Amino acid sequence: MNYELSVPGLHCGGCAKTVTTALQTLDPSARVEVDLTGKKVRVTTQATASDLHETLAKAGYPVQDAEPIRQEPVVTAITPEDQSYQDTMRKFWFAAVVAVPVLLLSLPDYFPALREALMGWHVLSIGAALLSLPVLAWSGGSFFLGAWHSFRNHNANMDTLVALGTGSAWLYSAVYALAPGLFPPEAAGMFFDVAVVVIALVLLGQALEAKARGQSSEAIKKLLELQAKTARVIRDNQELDIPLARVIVGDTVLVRPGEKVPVDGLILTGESAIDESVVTGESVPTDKKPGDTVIGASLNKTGAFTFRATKVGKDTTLAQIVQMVAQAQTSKAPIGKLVDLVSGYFVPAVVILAVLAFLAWFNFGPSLNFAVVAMVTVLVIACPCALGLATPMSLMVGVGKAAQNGVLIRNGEALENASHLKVLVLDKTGTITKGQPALTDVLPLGGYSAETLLTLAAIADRRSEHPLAQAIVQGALKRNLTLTEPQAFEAIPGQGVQATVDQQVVLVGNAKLMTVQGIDLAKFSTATDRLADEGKTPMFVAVAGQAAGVIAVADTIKEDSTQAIRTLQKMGIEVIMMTGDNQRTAQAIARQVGITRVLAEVLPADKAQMVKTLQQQTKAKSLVGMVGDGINDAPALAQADVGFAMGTGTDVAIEAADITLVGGNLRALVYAIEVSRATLNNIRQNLFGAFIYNALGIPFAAGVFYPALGLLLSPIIAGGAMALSSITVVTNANRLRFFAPQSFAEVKS
Amino acid sequence: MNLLVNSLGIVFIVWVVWYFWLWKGESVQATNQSGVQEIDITVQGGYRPAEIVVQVGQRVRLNFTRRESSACSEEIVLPDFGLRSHLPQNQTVTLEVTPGQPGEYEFVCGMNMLKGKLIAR
Repeated sequence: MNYELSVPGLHCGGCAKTVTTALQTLDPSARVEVDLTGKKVRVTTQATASDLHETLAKAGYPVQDAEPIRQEPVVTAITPEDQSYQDTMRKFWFAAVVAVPVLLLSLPDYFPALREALMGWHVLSIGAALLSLPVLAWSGGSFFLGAWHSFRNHNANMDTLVALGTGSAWLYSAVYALAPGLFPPEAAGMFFDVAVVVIALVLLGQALEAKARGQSSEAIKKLLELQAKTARVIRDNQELDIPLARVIVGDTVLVRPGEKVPVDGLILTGESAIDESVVTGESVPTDKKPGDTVIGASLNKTGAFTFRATKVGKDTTLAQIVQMVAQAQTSKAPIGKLVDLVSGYFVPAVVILAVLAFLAWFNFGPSLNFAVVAMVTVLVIACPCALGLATPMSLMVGVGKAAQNGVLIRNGEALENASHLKVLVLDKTGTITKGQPALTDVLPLGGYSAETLLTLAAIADRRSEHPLAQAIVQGALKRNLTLTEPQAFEAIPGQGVQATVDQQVVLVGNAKLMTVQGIDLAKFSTATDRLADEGKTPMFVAVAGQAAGVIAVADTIKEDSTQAIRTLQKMGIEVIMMTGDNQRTAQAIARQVGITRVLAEVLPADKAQMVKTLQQQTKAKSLVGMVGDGINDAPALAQADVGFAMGTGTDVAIEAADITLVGGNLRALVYAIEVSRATLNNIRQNLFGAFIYNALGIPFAAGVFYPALGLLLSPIIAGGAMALSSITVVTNANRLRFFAPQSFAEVKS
Repeated sequence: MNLLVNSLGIVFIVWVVWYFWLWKGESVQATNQSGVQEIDITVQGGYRPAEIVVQVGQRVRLNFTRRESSACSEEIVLPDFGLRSHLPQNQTVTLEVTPGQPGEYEFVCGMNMLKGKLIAR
């Protein structure tokens, strides 16, 4: 981590030494730079900000402020204000302006009649040579320097091609202008205009490309901008506004309506609705109460609350997301492997082709200058940048776009595999369903009303901690029923509860409880079969020794599950449900969400093996994905070709998962697969475009089509095409920024 | 004349193959101080040194200084470590990595044209 610390007490060389020693005692591997004039200390260290503060304060040099320098996560955006952009544009304009007279002076080259009319035309060409020289030297200087530097390192790149192309065009022309007598008459011709215009076009291309690339990394910048700048903490009963970097774990932080939550934490007092879309992609605000977690950078909507900071700095959810996205954006996708191989050989190969084109036309072509044109055109049309940018640009935009929508993709390989998925195994509990039982049916018997039955059962269950009992109590409270305290209460393990409510004995529990207590089960039977078929758990209620009704509790299906599963199936993916539950319950849930293939009664330990079996069963190249909660399902997630973890709350960087669905719903799963497919398509378009461009452009430039069709490319057009090709790749990648999933909306309507 | 031009052309091609593809650079050992290996790398049309021998499992501090304005080298990427950084001209950018396994770890420019590697032993 890099820090820049402002230390007002620094004023002499001695101070610098003390500070350096102090910091290196804290972390022997720290790299310390002291800037006495700016009164700043720059440190690269593993130590935390608060450790640095403490160490320097002890050494007698308290730090005024410590902002961690934001690590540049991806490509820095090039804005029109940037020096390098302005320099490039200035060089471009110079070349563009000079190009006008140079082109005019070159007119006789294109019109032999004009050449004959102007007797002293080759004097004019010396003028063109002199005019174009500063363009090569200043505007094109970076190409020549770059080419030279690479050459010294046994490397060759785009600079090499531009420098060789424009340099040889200029040199040939200059020799001709000075000593036309050396050349046979048919070799007449000069290319000063080519040198100048190609340099202008390539410079313009570079500037535009740099700007477009800035947009590609927009996603991560947007995420970073979402952070709060300051936090209002309560220390020693005082409210203090402090910079975000100074918040420490354990601080009590106050957040008012309309403010951003500065760091991650647990609510202490107050309630509010919080918009967590920044992290989860879910735009509906979530209600939070004391004890709930809050995520830094989310937006507090309605109420004021205080919370205890649990994660700060680089540990916050947002920081982890940014870190993960930045890492994924630098990773490679297997589809780009060929390019990686090609790019190492590309430029020297183009140089060789250019020489071959020259030799071919020199030996068999109409004239020497034809050979020179072919060579120069080959050099300037070839575009290594388009090839090199094709995969990383799309990956960067796609991964960033996914992150903005609550889908964290670990790397390029995960993205590529997700786009090829043919089979998806969904864990039931916590993935398709909420993982928490809830009250579903109240079926009274013997003259009780539903309300009375539920009230009695809920009062009886009130003191039980069993999840099923809690579901009944919560269900009653949700229906605004008034619950009094039971007069007596006894939990019977494995059966249910027995309680006294309003002087009556109330039994709530399973069939065993009823049998043991001598209640005739036959009275309940009509309802129970149906409930079981629906995947619900029936709870029997008896009051004063008589059957009073059945209350059903079930793990409820998440709102989006059915839609999402239908969408996945429409996308051509076979969806399989895997669960440890019994067949009957599993089938019931599967029926409700439209899944036909169910793997029930799978022990947690066998889940990974099950995924492996599926992988062996499915045809080659169809990949199997697994969606689970990331904790119990870790081995299965790791075994799958793509493991999707349902993240909830602050738990974003789930290790076993290739893709984390932060919002914890299946809609995000659909999005993940759609965005992966769109990104991979985009990469394919880019690669195809870049390969086809070079594969057609280079032979065209070399004059392969000349004998048959009489077509030879002008080097000026070649230079323009080269500049355009890399802009096209970046622009195409940027199209992904506007990616909107179609299928989910379609199915819903 | 024809013979001369043709011979020169062929010789040039052979030389290109040798100079760019067959030539092997020398590797340099990173210096080791108090448990951190460190190496200064000049970025100028390539990486000098381009092959760095380091010890496995120990932190490596790579100090990249870009001494050119050519856009080709403006980014440095270490794909194996998920690091990408902008290299401002004439400034030193320090990246720290720890190679966990013996092997070769590439560092490349943003467009994958310029290459160097860490050789972890």
